[in-house]
Amino acid sequence: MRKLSILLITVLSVFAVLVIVSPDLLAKQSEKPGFKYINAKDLELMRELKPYTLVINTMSMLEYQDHRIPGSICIPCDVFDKKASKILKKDLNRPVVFYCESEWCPKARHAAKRALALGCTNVYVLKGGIHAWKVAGFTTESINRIPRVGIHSVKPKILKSWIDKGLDMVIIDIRSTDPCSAYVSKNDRIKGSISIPMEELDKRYNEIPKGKPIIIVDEIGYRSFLAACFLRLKGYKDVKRLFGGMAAWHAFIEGR
Amino acid sequence: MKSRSRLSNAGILTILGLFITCFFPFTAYPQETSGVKCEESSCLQCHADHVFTKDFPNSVHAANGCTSCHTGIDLNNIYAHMSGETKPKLVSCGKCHKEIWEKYKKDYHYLYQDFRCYDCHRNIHQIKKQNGNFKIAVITQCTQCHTNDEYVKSGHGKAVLEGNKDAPTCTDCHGLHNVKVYHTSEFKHPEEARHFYDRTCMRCHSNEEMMKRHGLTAKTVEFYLDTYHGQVADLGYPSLVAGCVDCHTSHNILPPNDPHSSVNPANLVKTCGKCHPKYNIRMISYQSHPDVNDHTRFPILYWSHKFMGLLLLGTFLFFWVHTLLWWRKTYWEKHEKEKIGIVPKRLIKGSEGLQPIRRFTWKEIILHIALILSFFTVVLTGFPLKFHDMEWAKVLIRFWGGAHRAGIYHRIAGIVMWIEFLYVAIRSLRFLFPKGQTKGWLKRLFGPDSLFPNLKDLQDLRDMFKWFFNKGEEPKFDRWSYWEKFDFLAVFWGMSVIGITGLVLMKPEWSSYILPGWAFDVALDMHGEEAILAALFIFTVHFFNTHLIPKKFPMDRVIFTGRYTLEELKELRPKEYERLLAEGKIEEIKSKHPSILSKLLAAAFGLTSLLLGIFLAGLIIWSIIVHM
Repeated sequence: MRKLSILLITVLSVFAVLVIVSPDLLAKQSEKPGFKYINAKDLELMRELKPYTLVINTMSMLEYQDHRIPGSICIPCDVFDKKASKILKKDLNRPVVFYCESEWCPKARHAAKRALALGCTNVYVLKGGIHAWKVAGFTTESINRIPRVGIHSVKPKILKSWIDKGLDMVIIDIRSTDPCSAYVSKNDRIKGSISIPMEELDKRYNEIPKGKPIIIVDEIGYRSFLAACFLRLKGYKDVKRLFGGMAAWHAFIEGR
Repeated sequence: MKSRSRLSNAGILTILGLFITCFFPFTAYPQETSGVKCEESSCLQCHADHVFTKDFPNSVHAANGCTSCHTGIDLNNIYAHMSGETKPKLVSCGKCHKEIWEKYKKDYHYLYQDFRCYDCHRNIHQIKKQNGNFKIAVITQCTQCHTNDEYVKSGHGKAVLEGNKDAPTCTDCHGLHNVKVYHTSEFKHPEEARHFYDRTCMRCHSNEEMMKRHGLTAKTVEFYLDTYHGQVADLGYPSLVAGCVDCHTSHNILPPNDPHSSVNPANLVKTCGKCHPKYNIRMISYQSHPDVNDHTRFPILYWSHKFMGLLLLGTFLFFWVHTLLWWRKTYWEKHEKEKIGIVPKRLIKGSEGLQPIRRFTWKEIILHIALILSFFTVVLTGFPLKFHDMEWAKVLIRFWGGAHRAGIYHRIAGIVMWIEFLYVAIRSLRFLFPKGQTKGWLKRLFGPDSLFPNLKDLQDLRDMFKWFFNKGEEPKFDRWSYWEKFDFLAVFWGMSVIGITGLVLMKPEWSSYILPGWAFDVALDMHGEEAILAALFIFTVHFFNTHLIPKKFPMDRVIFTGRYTLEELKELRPKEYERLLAEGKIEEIKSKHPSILSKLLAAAFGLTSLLLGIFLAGLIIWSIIVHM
């Protein structure tokens, strides 16, 4: 009888464990990043309480000048090491908040880690980036707004067919090659594309030949539009962008 | 005097003139003059383009003037503006268009691309009240960036361009000023995107009047929701099943007979292959939203559905009547005995009847417990799909952690049930052919220890009904009564229907090498109907026959302790008692009284299962009534 009771208890407890313990509980605890995440409302509050809080845009100068969180400064993540130490080392205890364009963007996190390495003690990352700032209802300000124009987007399927047909066009990959923004390996590019990171576009756009159709490619399709508008402003007529960026491209190529 | 008065008149006129030329243009609340605010006259001195001088005064915003939108210009220091020292602020249309602005603040174009109102409404200074086709205007506007050739060629796009008022334009699906990012991002937000697409498509396609106008049926949505894809979709993903756009695509929506349509038979292989890798081509005959009542298009599905319906009706009609009559008889009998003070013999101290005897071996007990656990698991994970639109189904699916996880548990429990079934089948064969001995198997099959029905069972059934109506004695049962045999054999039937259909549905890609696609429709329907039959039969008929009958109420713990008393054997299975007595086997089955721990466990586990089962039966019956 005791045997049976033990068996019963074992069967019941195994069942209970199966039901109650969901894999979530067993999920590995994520590593502590060392910096803190802050949401948009708390950032606004923090700026009221501590007006010396430094808010740093980690995107390109083009994006920063187009629209930014009011009062923020810009340290593009690829030149972080050059520029940041001067600004940050003045007061290592000053609260510093990094942000980039959206929750998908790794730049602010990278910058925050580098700030910690410099010795900053109060390092934050704005959760959800400037996108979350807007969602929370806060406004942005513009220094040099790039006028928006109609930019045709091309789906991966179409772009692939153009490449296969050997259409004469220039594919510009604006993703940063710096490790701070999801490092792009050479194999990760569309064959024949030219790399001009968004951070350098305002200085290097002259390298792009005029008179040919241009396709702008980015990470997930959020940044190519602004880059395309910038090129249109600079006189390039036929500028298109890859819909969904390289993420959509890979999804298409892998048949997802 | 006269000259003085002239002078003073001239002075007044000069002051007035100065007032008009200097002050009037900058007054805070200017007067309207022919649709143009007078402040404009000063703005227009510099901003003299045709747009501002001719178009704007005739536009809908003419009465607002310039500075109500272009704020941040100090009218008292116009030179600061002219020299570029101060710049006007960004125009905020939301000051007036508050409702739209509130919506637009969450729009993808604003959040991710910082599109302002005037980035789309570029002709802001020329806007007039439009009397044209709004839907076409939207297409013209959106396609400036979104070159969706597929949409324009699709059934929807064509219809809009032909002036159809029902067909959706871009904003009908994506929203006008509340475009969400996941609308276009299946790979980034697979769950939300699917929810959105389904909701959007169903909004029109379940509208009976609208569908009727275009020769379509609104029932398609209902039919889809009754398939596996629809059930999981309705419960909320994240189990990735085909929503509307996964098969029909989001923009290239064309009728099946169009060779460019994703649901054209020639393209279905690819369309289904997006989710189902390595399947046999015959799977494409699967119907994604079949009408079970359409016997011309889906004859096998129709007849299998009808057969299952009749089986359910017949089984429950018979057994529920049987149960009701049985309960009446025993309850009345018990009442009579209580009235005259007859106490069951087993309650009398020291009687021989208290001798515990063994009915089930520990293997059978474990088998039954495993069966209870696996059965509850399949019921609790499967029925939320069957009744996906009920609120309790959603609660239950959340409890399991989503349809995907519930599906995994359902499959595991299903495999456990298969193992139990095979174990029982092997035991049955061993019983019939002990040590490979075939001689006398028929005798064993129809013998008293067999669970196979024999002639006596038919007689017992007849006598039982006589007894229900006080027309005879209660039949004397042997080791297994006819309802216990039915319970046992029903499992064989049930497993062959629910188990095989379950296996077929578990991995449709593999099944497609044996069965055509339409068989999955039939399999799902039979799986669901048989599930209702099995669950309701166990939770009502089996529960009553073995536990809730007044003699045993609230439960019979013999299946958990394996033992009952000699007195119970005599009372419930007199024929077996007589047989064992004659064969001298009573001593063999005598046992010890069960321990307090096993009694406690039996009560706790048994009663919990009973209560849970009855509760579930209630939910199932309620859901059936709601769906009638």
